[in-house]
Amino acid sequence: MDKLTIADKTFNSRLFLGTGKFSSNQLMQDSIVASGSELVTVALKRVDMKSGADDMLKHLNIPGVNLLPNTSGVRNAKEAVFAAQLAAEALGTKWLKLEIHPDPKYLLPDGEETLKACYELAKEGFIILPYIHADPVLCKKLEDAGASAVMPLGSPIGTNQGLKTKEFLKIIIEQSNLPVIVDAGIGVPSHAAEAMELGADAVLVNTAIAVAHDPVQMGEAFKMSVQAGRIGHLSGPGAVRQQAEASSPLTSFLSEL
Amino acid sequence: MVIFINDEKKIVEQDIVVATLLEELKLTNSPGMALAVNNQIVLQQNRATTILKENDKVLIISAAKGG
Repeated sequence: MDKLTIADKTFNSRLFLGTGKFSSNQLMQDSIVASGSELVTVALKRVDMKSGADDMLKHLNIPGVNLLPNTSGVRNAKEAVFAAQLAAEALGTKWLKLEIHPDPKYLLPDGEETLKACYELAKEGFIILPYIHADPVLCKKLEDAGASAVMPLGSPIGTNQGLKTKEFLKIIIEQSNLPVIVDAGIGVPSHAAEAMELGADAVLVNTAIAVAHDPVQMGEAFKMSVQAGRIGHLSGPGAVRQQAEASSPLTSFLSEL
Repeated sequence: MVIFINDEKKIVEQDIVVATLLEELKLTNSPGMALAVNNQIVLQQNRATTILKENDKVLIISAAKGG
């Protein structure tokens, strides 16, 4: 499969993983390995003074796997910039999944604040991957604001509903000069394949793998579906037609009985 | 003197530096951690020289699982 370049990094895998919702750190690690992913998100939280820090980072110390800190939990651009700076200090990377979703019910991203934060963070040298609505106009604005990729949603986070925004994703993919990573809502491997067939450069999956009965096997299934979708896209699918077109010769080789 | 760590009140010695506070909290060697005092990030290299004052608000965060 062809490689993907975002900013200064090249990836063999076009499947990015979130690390939330796994029932154990070991299962998270094994699922990442099975998926072949080379970019995984991490969140930030306040250290619990009673229990101390989580040892999850030890489980993400996997050869070839890079960390993508997110700004989940922030409500506006100002908080996002501060969270980004904390993430850079904590994890030693300027890569950032910029996400600002003040609404707790649907976790829908605030495009206006995301754009504002993107301008600020680009000035500070961050590699910004913003999580946004499947809004083609906003995607172009983020391009001007210095984003390194765009991450439009398929459907709300954690819903497993698939590509409800399909028609808008198509427009984004057609217009974008940046890599397009379909994030959120991908619930089964066929959704990931569908996104890749549309021409997405990568997908980000979390819930679908983490909450599967067998997350490790599901990680492998997503790996295969992303590869299949990408190769399918590159192979140039045939046109969709209204009427039948025979695949076999219609030569009436039997005489009438 | 009183300071606040992640919104919890704590009594510490006068003029304590951030590095000593982290030692007391057994967080010196925690990977993936960042710290801010009154919303200003204290870089790792400045922890030994940053002196805390009465009522300072210390935020300590670390990496966590998330999507």
